[in-house]
Amino acid sequence: MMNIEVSGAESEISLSPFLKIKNLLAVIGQNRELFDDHYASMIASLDELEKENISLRERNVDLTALQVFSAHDPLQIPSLPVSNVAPAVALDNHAYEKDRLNFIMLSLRKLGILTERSREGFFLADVDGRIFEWNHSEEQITGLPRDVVLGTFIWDIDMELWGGKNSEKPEEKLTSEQKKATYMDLVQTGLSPVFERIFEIETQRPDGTRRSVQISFFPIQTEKGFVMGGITRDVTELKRALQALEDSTQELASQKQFIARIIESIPSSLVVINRSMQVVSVNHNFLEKMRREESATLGHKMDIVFPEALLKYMHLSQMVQAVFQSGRKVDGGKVAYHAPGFSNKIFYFRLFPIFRSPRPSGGNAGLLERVENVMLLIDDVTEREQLRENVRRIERHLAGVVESANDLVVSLDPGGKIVTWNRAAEVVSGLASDQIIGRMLVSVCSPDQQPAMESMLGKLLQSGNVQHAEIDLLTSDAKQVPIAWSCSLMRDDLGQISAIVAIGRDLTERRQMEEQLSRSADMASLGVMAGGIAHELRNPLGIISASAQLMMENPRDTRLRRQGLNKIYASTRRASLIIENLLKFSRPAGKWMKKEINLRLIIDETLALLENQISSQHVDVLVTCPETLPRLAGSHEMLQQVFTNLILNACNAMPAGGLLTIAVAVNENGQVGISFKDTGHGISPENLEKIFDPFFTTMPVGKGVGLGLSVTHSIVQQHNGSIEVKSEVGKGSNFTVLLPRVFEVRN
Amino acid sequence: MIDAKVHVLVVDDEPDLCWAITQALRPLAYIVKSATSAAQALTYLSQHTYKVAFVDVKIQDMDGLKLASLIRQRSPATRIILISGFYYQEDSAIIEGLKNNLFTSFLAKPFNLAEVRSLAQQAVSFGEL
Repeated sequence: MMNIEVSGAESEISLSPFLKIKNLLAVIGQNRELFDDHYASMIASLDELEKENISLRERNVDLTALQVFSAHDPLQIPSLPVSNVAPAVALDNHAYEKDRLNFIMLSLRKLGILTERSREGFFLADVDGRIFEWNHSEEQITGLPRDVVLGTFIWDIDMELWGGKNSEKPEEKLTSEQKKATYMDLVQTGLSPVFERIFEIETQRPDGTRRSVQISFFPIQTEKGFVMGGITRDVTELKRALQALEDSTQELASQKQFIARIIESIPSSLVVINRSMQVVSVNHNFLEKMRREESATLGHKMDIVFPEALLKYMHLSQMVQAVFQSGRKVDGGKVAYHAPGFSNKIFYFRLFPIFRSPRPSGGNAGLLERVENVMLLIDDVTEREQLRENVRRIERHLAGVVESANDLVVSLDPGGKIVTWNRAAEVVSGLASDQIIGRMLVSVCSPDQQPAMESMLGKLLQSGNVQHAEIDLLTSDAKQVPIAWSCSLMRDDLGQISAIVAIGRDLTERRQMEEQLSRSADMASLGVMAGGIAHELRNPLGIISASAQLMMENPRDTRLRRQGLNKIYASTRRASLIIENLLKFSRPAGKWMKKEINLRLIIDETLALLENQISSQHVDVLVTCPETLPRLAGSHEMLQQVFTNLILNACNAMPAGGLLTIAVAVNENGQVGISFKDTGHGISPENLEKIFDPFFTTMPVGKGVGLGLSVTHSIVQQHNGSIEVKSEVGKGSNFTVLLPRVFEVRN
Repeated sequence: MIDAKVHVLVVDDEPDLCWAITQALRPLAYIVKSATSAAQALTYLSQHTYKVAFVDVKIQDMDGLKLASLIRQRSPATRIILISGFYYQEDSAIIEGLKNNLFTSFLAKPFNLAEVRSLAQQAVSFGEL
């Protein structure tokens, strides 16, 4: 074997230095990129060698003479320049030989320095597979000292070259024999899939640290076949850097992807424009909305990308320019656009500046910033607009309904102040809504009924139930219009009272109609009455007339005369009574004042007046009355007449005597009821319907004219009361007069 | 020829009017029976045949027109003279009743005694012509 000791004794290196250079040249030539940083200096060194070579030639020394020395050299290189000078010449010239050797020594030293100083590891193996070069860097990288490695077979060095990590079967390691066979095969053919690659392997240094090493293993052709050269490079740091780079690249890519996904997911159209007014970025939404291809959009001027209608109508280019200049965002507003093939759309434009660097939080640094891009955000607000339009339409419709309502529609705040006042309210009150809004509703009520309105609103707020009341409204010309109010609460979504809604119906017309109706009812009852009057009066008249005629026919019949005169007198009295009752019935109200009355007193006085009649008919009277009663208003005299009629009726129903129970009580509606219950013969159901008709009577002729209950009914009605009757034939009747309590009058 | 046995029924819940009509008919020598209720009148009718019946429209236990139709049903020979203070001569109910032969004639209160007699005589002589 050859022990190439570059820094060793000259004798030891005498056989191969030149070849070594040539090998190196080949190595360098083939792996130029690995020697990048040293290549220039090496070329320079070789240039120097070349110059010396030339000078040798000039002195007629041919380098081919060296072949003598290398006759046993396994690494002869056939491509060396061959001179025509015969070797014998050279051999004869010892002086030259000396020079040549000096030169080679010098060159080798230089090369040795270069290889030793090279950061790349470097090794060579001969055709037999023995390693004969292993430089310092190789020692460093592999952690295998040169002393150990030199002279060993390359397949004995476990550098994972043979079934390296790049192999298709990384787990399968070749045996030494297989490696040797591979190597020998290579040396024969110069072809090997294994050795023509750059390997990257992991090595473990003796000190235990692991390094990433890149090995370029390559054949070098010689006359006898191929030898192996290898250049090793510690790429641990590089790999780390590369890994870091890759990591950050991946991170960047994933961030970029993330941002891209966000942008694509935005349900708005997004366009980014640069200072040259070119579109630099768009999202899918935009392309879809504008029906454009990405290729026809990116990099194009915005004037081409956006529809002309939008540009003209919106002055979009100017707006973008303005954002570039001002650096402030702009709310562009709405624009309707009809894209071909799409229904009419409404877009909302916003423009945002994008600054080159993150926008400084404040201060003068802002002066340095520059708007790099303008981002246009375009929202399709068609649906929102349609919805808004629908809401507006409904609002208009509702407002129209309220305005055109025939009833007063008034809304109040919970404090009672008027918030809205519709057209009907304006018409009825004569007060325009701008005059009235902000005032209290109570303030436009008739003064004496203001407490009633206050109490109704109070009850409404307290109970939450709909309240009804008839309260007069004071008009602008100081008239009072009767209004039937229905008040209810309006609540917001949280259930809080947001307003009071008062619906009022003008009762003027109804009151007129009621009056008319009552007049026509009067007319109808006049018809009934006329019949009654006719019958009731014509009977006594008939008797009077007949009696008179008989007396005239028989002037001398004294008995007849006496009978006749008696009948005439009785009938006249009867007719007068009928007329008097009739007057009472027809003019019961007169002009009478409602005064506070004492119910108990009226009952007692009535009973006192009727004492004789009651006792003569053997009727017992029982009166029950609470100590305190609600305050009542009415006419003492008229109620006395009512009670008289009812007591007399009761007595007449009990010809054989009985019990009359008079009971006063307050019912659940706050009405005061006065009941007259007898134990008499009762009223048949068919008669029960007629008892209040004028002139209906079951009394024998001459005893009653049938006006009592009619008059009673009329009086009770004038007290805003009512009469209830329950009766059972054979058991008795119960008449109850119900009188409403008076509104508590405030002082 | 006047049958001395002419029976006349007067129905009115006003006893004085029954008295007046009875007195008025006295010169004609009829046998006059007074009833102050429909029930009483129907009882009398079931007991005897009356040539003429004066019927008041308003009787307390029955409507006079109803009574008239009952009389016509039970005693077709009886001529009915309706008396009323309630109706008048041209009243639709009266015109209708006369047309339907429910009653022969109508006498409004207060009445003329001569008219009472004349209507009674007409009624009595009707069947004899």
